[in-house]
Amino acid sequence: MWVLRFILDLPPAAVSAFDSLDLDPPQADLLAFDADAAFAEWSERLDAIPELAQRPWGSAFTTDPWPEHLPAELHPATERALGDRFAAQAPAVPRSLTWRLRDSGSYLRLEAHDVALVVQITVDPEKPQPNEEAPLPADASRVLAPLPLLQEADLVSAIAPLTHGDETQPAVLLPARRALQQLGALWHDDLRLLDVLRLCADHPQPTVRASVIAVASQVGYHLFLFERSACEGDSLLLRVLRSVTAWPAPDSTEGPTA
Amino acid sequence: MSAALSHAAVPEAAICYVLPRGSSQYDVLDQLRALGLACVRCEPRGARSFLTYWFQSAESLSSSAEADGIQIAYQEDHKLGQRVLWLSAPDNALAARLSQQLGAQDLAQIVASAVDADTPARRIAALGPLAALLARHGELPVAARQLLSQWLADGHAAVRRATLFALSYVPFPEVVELLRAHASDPELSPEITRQLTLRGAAEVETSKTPAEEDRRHIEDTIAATPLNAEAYLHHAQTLQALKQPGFALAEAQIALALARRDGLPLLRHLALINALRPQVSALPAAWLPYIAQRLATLLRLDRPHVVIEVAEQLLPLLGSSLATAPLCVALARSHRQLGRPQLAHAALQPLCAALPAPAVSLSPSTQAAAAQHVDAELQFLLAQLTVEAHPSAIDAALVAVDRALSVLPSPTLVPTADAVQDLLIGALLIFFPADQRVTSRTLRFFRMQALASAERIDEALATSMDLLAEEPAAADVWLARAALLLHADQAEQALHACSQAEESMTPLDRAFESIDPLAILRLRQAIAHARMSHAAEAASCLRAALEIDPRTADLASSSPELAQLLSDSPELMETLRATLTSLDEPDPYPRTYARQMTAACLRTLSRGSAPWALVLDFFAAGLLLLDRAGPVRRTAAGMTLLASLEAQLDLLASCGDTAAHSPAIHAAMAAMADALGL
Repeated sequence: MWVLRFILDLPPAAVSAFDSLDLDPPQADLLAFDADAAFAEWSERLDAIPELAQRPWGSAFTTDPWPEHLPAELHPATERALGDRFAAQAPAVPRSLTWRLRDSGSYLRLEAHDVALVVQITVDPEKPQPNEEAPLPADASRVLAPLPLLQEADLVSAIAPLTHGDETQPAVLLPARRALQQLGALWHDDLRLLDVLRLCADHPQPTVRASVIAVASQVGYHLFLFERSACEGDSLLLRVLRSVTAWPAPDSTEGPTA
Repeated sequence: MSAALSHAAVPEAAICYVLPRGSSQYDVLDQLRALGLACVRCEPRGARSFLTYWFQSAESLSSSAEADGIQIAYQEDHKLGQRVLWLSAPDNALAARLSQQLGAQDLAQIVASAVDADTPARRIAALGPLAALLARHGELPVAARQLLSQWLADGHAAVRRATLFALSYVPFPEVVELLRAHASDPELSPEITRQLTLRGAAEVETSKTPAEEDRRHIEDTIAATPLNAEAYLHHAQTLQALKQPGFALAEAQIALALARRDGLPLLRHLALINALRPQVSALPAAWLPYIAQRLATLLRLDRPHVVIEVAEQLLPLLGSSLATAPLCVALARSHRQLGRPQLAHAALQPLCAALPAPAVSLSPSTQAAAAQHVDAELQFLLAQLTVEAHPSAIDAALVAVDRALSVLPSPTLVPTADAVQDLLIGALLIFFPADQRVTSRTLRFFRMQALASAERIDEALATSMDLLAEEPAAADVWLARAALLLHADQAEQALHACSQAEESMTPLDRAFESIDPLAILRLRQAIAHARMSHAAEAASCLRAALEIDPRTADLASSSPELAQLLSDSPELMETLRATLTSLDEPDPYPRTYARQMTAACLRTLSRGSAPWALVLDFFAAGLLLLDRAGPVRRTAAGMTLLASLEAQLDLLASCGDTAAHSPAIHAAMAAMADALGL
């Protein structure tokens, strides 16, 4: 199996708190993201794509749980019950829905992270494709083509302003911080992200360091957060670090017997 | 931060390395494949902090069983930010190749470089590889121990905290000493206490007393077989050994009552009860939900005699305190189940009088809502028992219903019994399962019926209008209103109410009543027409009623309005007589039987679940075929219907919905198949 992951590059959310003041037009907040609404909207959109079999499954299942043979006319209650059952989500992992591509048998997964949606295509290299030259099966290409996707190379180059400390313009830093957030979602399971965070961690701008802490906290790099506590000079960020490295509750039973 | 003491999830390794930064997992996997290793398994990170790939040499895979070869694992720990490679058995040649190819470092190298860490941040960074390797190492090297001890006392709090976090990965007994030595550090003490407890908890877990182990095992047995007298006795004996005489006595009484009805010898039960009784003085509050759960289960399993015996034996122990409430409710419900409304009323009435009325709030908290709901349920039960036990005391019943209506909270606010903080309220809530809880509609419908039975027709009609104002398509209310209007000699309005009822009636309305409501409706139409001297229409409606549900014959024969009609039509009289005679034959009406079995089946299923919806639709389609289709079409369509239902139930069952294959569904399907002539 080989896997391709993309960020679904959605327009930033508008700031709505001052709408009623009738001053300037509301500005988009580049760092704001409503994961629930975006996931609901895009899972509905993907469900309507004809190349995808309309029976997705949730993160609780590692393989397609839908029975191979279903009665020709499924009662709505049965369909709904099976749909609900197979949309189940595993605890403490990013919420996701996975669809099978009808022609190629590849899989498309939509993953919801706190700060971005990820689209992942999984292709079985052993399944023969009609066009061996093409990088992706034809149906996967057709599905992906109209989507606003960013690849890891786009994000890695977009965060360049964060890796050298002489860049302080918010107009430059803000899109770069957004890219860092998105890279955190794209590489949430890839330790290369930690290397990237280390590159940005000593930036003179507290806002950049705040983004580093936020991403590290979201992906669970606890020791790195302790490391940041040892060198952070901003009192507000120190408070944040204190909170994200807080000890588990005294009665937490996680441990050898859990 | 979440999981600490992660070492339990980590297997010990023969040889272990950490990998340098800078490459992705895919790069490492490619490098391992290039070394002749084949990936045999991948455990995704999921909710854990580890991502693991398992490898074996391609040779061992092709030559022998998987277990014979050395396993090589590549693991990423995201909390520590480390990538580790280890071998399950020593193979120095392979280890050297891996180390050289991947630039991996072993524990000795890591400790050596950690000693040189000269800033707090570097010391914390050095903890990552150190903890990752120590977690899989066979022992705690002295140098590593000294380093950890030193950093646990570091001048920078972040280093101390990070060291304590890293120690949660280290499994050796020496760690306990290290932790104890720093327990007074205010930065660390809560986590040290937690880690020490967890390390100690593991020991407690393995050294659990046999009696406690035994008790848990018996609890499981009782949960699986709640009518097993021997299990309750065994539990009582074990609880006695655990010095819990109150719980033991309750279990012994249940064992005795069950054993008595099973015809078992009672000597051991009586001896145990006699030994326990003198030991029981004050019962712990935790006893309330415990006994409520037990008695509610026995009631649900249709063992009212057992519940009565147990409750009557235990009540004297509790005196007149409110702690008797679960027993009083169990007693009242058991007597009612046995058709003894007076005894039931006598058991409940003092409790309802003693319980303080809960403070009523328009937007109560969930805890307050639980108290209000319990009060409403008890008042409703009291109202029902009042009507059943003392039909003339209708005013008292109406007072109870009005109080229930005034306190009833929104059902969405009522928590589950185990989420209620007040043990007494939580215990009482157990007797009123969420899917059977009283609603405002139920209370007002009851009010309408109570008023009707007291011949207060105008008030009953007014209540029916209230109900219809909220739910204009309520077939049962329209049907009840038709009866009230007939009673008030308003035949024309009664016919109108019947039309409204017929328009609103769904298959679900027809499933649950004892006599098919459509047949009742036709009978009421027949009576209304008879009152209005529409003889032909009355006869037609009566014939329809008898055909839809022959058990309306009893009602028809006792109706004075229909007497004239019957005497004028010998043929109709003969039909009625034949129907009445056939009622004595066993199962003469497969259609009625199908309806009853479907109702029984729907009652066992969770309302709105997929099997429930399937059975209901099957029933509706079956009724339609029975009402409208000829025999040939009925058979063909019936077969298709049955096959489709079976296929979908099989599908649901194969996906883990055990209710889809319940005996009640099979019985309902068989009854409908019979009615359809299949």
